[in-house]
Amino acid sequence: MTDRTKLAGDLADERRGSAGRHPSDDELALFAAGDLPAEDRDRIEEHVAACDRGCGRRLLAAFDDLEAFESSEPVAGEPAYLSHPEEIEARGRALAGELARPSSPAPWRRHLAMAMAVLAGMVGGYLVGELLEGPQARVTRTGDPPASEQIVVGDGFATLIPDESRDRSGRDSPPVVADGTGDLILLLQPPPRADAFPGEVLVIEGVEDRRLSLAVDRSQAHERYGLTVRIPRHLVPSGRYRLTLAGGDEPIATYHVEIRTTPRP
Amino acid sequence: MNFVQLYHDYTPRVTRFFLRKGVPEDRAEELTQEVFIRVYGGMERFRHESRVGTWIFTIARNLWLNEIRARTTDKRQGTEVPVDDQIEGVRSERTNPEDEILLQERRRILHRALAQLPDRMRRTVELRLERDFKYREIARIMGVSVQTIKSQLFQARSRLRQILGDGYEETDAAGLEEPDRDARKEQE
Repeated sequence: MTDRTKLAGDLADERRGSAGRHPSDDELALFAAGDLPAEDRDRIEEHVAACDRGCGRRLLAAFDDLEAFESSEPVAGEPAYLSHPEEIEARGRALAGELARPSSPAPWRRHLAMAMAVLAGMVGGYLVGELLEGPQARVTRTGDPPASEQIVVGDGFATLIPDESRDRSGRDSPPVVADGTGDLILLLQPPPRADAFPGEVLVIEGVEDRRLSLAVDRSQAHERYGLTVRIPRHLVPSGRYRLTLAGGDEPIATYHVEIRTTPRP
Repeated sequence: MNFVQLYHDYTPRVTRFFLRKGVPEDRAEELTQEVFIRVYGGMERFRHESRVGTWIFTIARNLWLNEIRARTTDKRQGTEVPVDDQIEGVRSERTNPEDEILLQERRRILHRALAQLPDRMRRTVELRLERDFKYREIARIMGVSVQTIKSQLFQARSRLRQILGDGYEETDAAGLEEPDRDARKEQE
């Protein structure tokens, strides 16, 4: 290597050195968003101008990503619930309740993830069809002790405690319940037998000595994600309930929940 | 800062961000949930040094970057090409050593002249000449309009001519002198 090439190399190294370390992804994102202090912004600008390792391209990618993040335009094929603020809020409350429990077991994470997907697969998820009061109603208050798992709804309005729940093959199949806009939203997992799901009727037992039968709206069901049922809050006061999803006379799955009213924090 | 409110306000943006990045819907929802789990975990530590939206953006973006890095790693399947071999390949395609030395010497002179320009003007020139960015890209980085960039480059050329005097060669600033070509490209 000649002296001249060495000099040129030294100069290049010197410039790279003066430009400092390569900025992190976070720094580039903050730069793109205009949220960096002037001093840091200046440093990164200097670095990007001198860096021959692609930091300039990384920064431009951060700008593109920010643009993609900030656009409020809907994306083709996006989950329908993104256009329903009340559904989003209900999910937020359910997630807050889940995360508020430090010993949150992994299965509930899965249930919650599934619940998140439920609404994605369905539009609305509103109260299923007609609400009938069966003439042969009988009360079935479950005598089981409260389950150790519970979802504490984020607004402190109600505590919803899913009890042990099983489909007819014995698989653990608890519902996820959210209290969002004055309604209860039940997200019922489909049993393995997808051909029977979602059935025709959801029977709610233990409602003030009555039995409520909700006709299942099959358009609100997805064989993979489950069934969304929205029930006006006033129809299901605090208490324990057994929910039976049935097709014809045959039960497909049974879910147990307890609803406790708790004071607002 | 209310978590449910944040969830309500930012879930559409976060999910759509992942979808725009080509993430399948199921995975986009999983990643969205992961974003908000991190938001929940970080709320107490958040010091409002940036806007909340920017903070959530950085979380979402980092998850997305991790996602594509993981995909890239999967695709590699353990086959790596030594970097030295690639560099050697590039070297062999270069012009002869004498030309290379002259080019480097010319660049050294130009760098010294550039050092006399005001900082932001110098960076603009470097981004154009050395990094080969388009005007639009430079404007984005520098946070100014394309017109301002064109103006700065025009002024930089005059200054370089003054600084280098007889040593100025038109080729030194050749990259600055083709706004029409760039404009056409950018319009395309």
